[in-house]
Amino acid sequence: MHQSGYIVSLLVLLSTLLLASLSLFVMIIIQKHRKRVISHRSQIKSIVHNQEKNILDAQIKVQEQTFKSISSEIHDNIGQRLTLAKLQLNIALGNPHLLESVKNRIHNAVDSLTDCIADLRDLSRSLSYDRIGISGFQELIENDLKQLTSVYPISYDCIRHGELYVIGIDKELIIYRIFQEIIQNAIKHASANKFSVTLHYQKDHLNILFEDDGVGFDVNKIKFPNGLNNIRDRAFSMNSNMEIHSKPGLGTRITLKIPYNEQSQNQSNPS
Amino acid sequence: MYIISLIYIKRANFIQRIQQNLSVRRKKTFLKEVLLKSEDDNQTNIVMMESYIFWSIYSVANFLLFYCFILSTRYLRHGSIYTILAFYFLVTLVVVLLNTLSSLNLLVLNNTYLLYYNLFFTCFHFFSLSQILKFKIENKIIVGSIQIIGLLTFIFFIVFTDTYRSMFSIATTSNILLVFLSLLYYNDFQSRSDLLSSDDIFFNIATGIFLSSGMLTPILIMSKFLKEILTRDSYYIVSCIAPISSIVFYVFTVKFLKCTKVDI
Repeated sequence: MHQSGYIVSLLVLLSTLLLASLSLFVMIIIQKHRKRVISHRSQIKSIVHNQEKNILDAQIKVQEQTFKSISSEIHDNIGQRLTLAKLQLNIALGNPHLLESVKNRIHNAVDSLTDCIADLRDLSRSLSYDRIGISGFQELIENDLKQLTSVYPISYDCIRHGELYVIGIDKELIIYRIFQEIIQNAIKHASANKFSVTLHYQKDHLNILFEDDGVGFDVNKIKFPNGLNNIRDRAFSMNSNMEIHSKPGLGTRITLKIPYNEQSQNQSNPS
Repeated sequence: MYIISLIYIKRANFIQRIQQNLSVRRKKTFLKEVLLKSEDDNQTNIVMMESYIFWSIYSVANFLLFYCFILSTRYLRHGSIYTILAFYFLVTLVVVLLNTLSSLNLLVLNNTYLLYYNLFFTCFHFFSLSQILKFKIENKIIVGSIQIIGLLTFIFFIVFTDTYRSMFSIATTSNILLVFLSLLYYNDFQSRSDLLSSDDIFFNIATGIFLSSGMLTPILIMSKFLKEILTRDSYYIVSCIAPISSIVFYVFTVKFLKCTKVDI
């Protein structure tokens, strides 16, 4: 009787242990599967991220190519024609038989053509990315800001901290396009009086702060319009973190954190 | 899975007393009364207590079985797995009902018939569950081979051993093969990429089969030895493993059915 009781106890214990072991086995399998699922999901995420980035890169390249075509069309075709027209008008001005009133009108037309040619040249320059390779994006930004101050009542600051890194033409071009978008927003929508660009070269990344004192907007309420979407997409294409801080009446701050890639770090230049 | 338990119930003297004195509805009340009244008879008390524990677990298992059957009928349009499950639960319910009614003398069936029913139900149990597992195991040839091995083994035991012994052997073989099939599923579960995209609800049913068969197999293997060394009342405690394993399987099946939203 006692022996039977011991055996039953032992069997109950063994059965419990067996069930526990089987459950442990199942749990190990579940744990392994979870790890696989997490790894699989991160792989998918990475693939999707890369695909999105590739698509954006392609879009930006196509856009830049289009800009370049338009720029060269303006420079080589429209600009040349206007210059020719101006030349012909100047030749016509040399005619002694012309009436004074006609000469004045031709003078006015020549002046208009001169302005038009200058504007087109600027437009052509802003569209072309050739200048990035020559001057660097920082100089381009400064030049653009300088030109803007002559047209709009806006003051500007362009500050740089840290040792200069050449981050590569592609990224510089994207930064320049982002700047163009932001300055356009600051002038057109925010009616800003002051605009500042701060470049902070860190050890492994570049921080850029665009700041204006315009009307601002509520970041939570605004549905990203095309301009901001373009900025966000461009920032994403260079693996950059973008933060927008803005409140109605308190201006706008846009921060970009752009990581250097290895190639650009190797090409680093002291300023 | 009920086979062992039902045999013990059949053989126990206290069941005969219940059969003579009680209706099915009054059975539990009677057991309680007996427990209270027979304080002077410790031995009877122990037997009653053990049988009461067994009956309670057995009742829970049956309740879950019924619940599984009702649930599985709701998902019939979702695919073959659910059809097989519903059919399996229906047959199990019928067998349990037959066994219970005959053990309570409400249905006149002699022991040999009951043994045959249970014998064929054991085979049915193996083929149904193996067929369910076959849906998700990639290597169908191995599953087919295991089913054929099972069939041949069953035929061998039926032909060359007596019914009572062959039933234990078939139950043991079927549980071992089901454990093996579950392991095959786990192997697929670890290696196949198509199971990564979403949580595989089939895992529940495979785990139910694995745990229930896994915990029952050692007891089945040792059953002959245990029968020799254990007293009848101790045997009740050990035989509780059968309804417990059924409960484990039904709980996981309920989870599987509850998780079902779309076709598998």
